[in-house]
Amino acid sequence: MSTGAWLFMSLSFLLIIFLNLFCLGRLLQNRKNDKR
Amino acid sequence: MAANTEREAWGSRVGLILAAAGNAIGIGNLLRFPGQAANNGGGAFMIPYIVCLLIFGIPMMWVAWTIGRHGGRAGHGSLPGMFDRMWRSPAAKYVGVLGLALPFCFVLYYTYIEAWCLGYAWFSLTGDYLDTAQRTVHLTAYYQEFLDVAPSSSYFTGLTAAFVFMAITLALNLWVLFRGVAKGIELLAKIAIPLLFLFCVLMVIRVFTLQGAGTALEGLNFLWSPNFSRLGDFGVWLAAAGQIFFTLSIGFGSLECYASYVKEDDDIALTGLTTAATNEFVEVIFGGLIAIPAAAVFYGAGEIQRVASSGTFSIGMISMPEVLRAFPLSNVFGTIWFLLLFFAAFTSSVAVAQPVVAFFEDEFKAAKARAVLWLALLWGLGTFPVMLFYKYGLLDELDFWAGTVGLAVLALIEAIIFSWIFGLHRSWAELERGSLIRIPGFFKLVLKYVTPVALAIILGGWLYGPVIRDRSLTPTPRVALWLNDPVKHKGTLESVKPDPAQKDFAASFERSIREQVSTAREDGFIRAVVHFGVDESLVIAQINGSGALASQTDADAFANYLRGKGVRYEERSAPNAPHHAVNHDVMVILTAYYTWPYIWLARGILLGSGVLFAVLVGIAWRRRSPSTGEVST
Repeated sequence: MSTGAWLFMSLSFLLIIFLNLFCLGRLLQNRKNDKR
Repeated sequence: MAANTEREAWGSRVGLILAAAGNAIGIGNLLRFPGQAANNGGGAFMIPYIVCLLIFGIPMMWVAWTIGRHGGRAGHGSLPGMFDRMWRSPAAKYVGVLGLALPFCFVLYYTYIEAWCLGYAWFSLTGDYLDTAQRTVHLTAYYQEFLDVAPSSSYFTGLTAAFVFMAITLALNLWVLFRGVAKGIELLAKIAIPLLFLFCVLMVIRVFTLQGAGTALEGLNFLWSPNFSRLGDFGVWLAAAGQIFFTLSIGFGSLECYASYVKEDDDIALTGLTTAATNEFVEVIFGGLIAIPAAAVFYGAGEIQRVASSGTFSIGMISMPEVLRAFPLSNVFGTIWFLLLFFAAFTSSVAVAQPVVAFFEDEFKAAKARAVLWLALLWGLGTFPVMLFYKYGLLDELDFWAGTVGLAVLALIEAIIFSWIFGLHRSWAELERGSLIRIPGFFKLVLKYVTPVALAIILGGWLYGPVIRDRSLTPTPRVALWLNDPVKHKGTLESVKPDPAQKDFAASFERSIREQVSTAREDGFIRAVVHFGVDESLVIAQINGSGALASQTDADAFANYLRGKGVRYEERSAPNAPHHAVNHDVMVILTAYYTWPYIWLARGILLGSGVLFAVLVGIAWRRRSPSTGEVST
């Protein structure tokens, strides 16, 4: 695979994973607050 | 039947997010995205794609959730009532009819596609499309016979099989809708979405452990290599915008309907963002890791472009089974692949049908069973033309107006109502109420100016191509060439080397065929036994015409037409090996379908459903007591 392909694939995947982790984190935090 | 007095609600936040993600995740995530990316700049496609996600994907998600929850508070689960609450104009409810007619027309044909996936899951399980000693299965012909497009009947006779799977799919959809929001849609999402993720992971593992003519990494290289020169191309930006549009299910009225079942002070901002994020995970990560790498493994790096540009259905229903059946455990992985597509479609179709159920329940106070029954009658009735006239382009026509142009129109209207009519200040306050995240203030600017302008540009772009440039609003007959009996042949008809001397003749021959069919107003067929020589010679042994082309029996003209089109009969030593010409006598059939009545039937269905829902809206509002706004009983 070319460097450009690796770079674009990795960056895209990381961005999407970050977005999902951000949402998941907020949802879990809220769940914890609700339980308290 | 008891009248419906209280609206339903979601059972849990997880259930709501899974249901909303199921709404957004569809067949397009796994099949449309990789094709679009590969054909529009590879890795560089992600630049316009992410920009579009930010400037109207996520903002429109918030718009939909806000309109939905606001409407739900007043007891409305469909757009006529929701628009009526936000826009104090007698016209508002009628504009909202788009939010019933569009999803209804969309679901008519989308469920048919869903039924193909269910059918293929069954055919995979039973090994029906696997090659055996007695039978060679040409997957293109198999697919086209299943849908009764091809004139041959080697694998399927008529639409019997398609009808069976359509009936099962329709029954499953109606059953889930009848069970209701929490016990039906939410439960389905809780089962289907985890299964969908599991199936995606299994498919990725399968694809990356296969060994064939190429490697999966070659597929990734093809898909992700950035071609920056394409970024200046307006068409690439339009393609990215379109992909974001379709993938997030914006402009259907279905997200709004789901949001209407959210409690007044429950979060919608984070829920909307999570819906988009989950959808993007399936699209960008799984969508990029399955179909194109699989094609690269099987066909080799040189053939990926052909597969990627062959279209959504060709990748899913022809290329993928071709790849999977070449390796061990084809039954298992074929079934997983098609169940994956089926679940993706199933969770979307119930979502898109729900606004109609909600409309009957909320505006006519119908009990669930009665609301679903009314939908079932309309749905069942609308299914027949979609299936019977698929080969005449009825489904494509519905898709163009309901699934493409209509969505952009509705999304644009929603953006204007949100920011300009209801007012950004009030809409923003509504969005932020109960929010679990703080939405950056710059999105106000985006929602007020950028999103409506971007949507107007997309709409203009979609209308410009077919309506102005191609002038394709006038239906033209569909011409295609087929092998008479594909199961008897090891090869296929291929367009290889058009003869430059006959190219113009081929174009004029085809034009004259279209004219004859249009004049006669009926289908036409030409059947010819053609001898294809290994020396690239082509001789017509017998020829006859029928229907509108009964007089079209000029052997020389037909031979020149085939030469001009570069048609050859070619065989392969193995499915992924290169084609080679052989001496062979085959019966070739040219079909010319007269599409005019069916294209107009599709337009009639669109218009008719719009009028029907407008009349129903008129009746529902007239029945309300003017002082309370409630339905008088």
